[in-house]
Amino acid sequence: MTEQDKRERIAYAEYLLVKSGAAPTDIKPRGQGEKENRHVYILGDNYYRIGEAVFEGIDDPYVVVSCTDTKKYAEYGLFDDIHAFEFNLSNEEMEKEIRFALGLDELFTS
Amino acid sequence: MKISFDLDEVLFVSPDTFEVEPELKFPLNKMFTERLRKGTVYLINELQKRGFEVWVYTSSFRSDVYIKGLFRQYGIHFDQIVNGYRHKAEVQGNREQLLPQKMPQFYRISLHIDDEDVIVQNARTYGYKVLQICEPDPDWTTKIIDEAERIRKLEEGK
Repeated sequence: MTEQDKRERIAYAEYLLVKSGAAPTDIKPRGQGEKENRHVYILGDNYYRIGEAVFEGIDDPYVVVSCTDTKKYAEYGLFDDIHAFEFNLSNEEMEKEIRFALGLDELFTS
Repeated sequence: MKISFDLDEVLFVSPDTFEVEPELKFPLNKMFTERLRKGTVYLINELQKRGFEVWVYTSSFRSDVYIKGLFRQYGIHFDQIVNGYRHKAEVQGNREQLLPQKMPQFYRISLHIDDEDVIVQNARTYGYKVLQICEPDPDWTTKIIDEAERIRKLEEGK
């Protein structure tokens, strides 16, 4: 997967946040690079951000959904990672993962 | 009726000494490294099905978001979470006197489940009910349900 592919999947994940009812904010977390095109969204009392991470044991990165319930923490970029899934999921599968991460639907993963 | 659970050594246990719930799939098992005592999923859901309000009351400073996120992966939704931050803000507040790390009666919790001896000792001093759960026990879920039902009958009889 190229960097462009990953950026597009992250952008699509952000689109799904909005489709699920989250609203974009103008928060630009400290420490987030100028060229990073990630945004912070709000749904209810929670702030969400989409990113990517590589986990020990596997070379492929994962899409990570991060969350905080404190605006100040969002401004400082202090999020908790609350969910993760593969980049190569179908659009339908990704929408289920995003809706689960937002607390809108269930998706048992144990 | 409200029941609360401590986390460390009660719901979060070591797989080296306890039977545990199935591990979360990768990479969620790297994000949420705590392992749940076997029976936790059944217990919390059963208590809620019986009409109990189930809380977490932990002195740890794990965020509300992290705790909710972890348990959601197992299909568990607590009614309320009191962590170290919330206890400090709401219970300790601006009091000069240092209060114990947990005060279930502040939240009108009828039964608190904990492993620590000091919490059990404080129950007598501060007037709350606690059931101590620490060692591996195949009957731990039954004991908690039975105690919850016993206390509920007592409260309803008042």
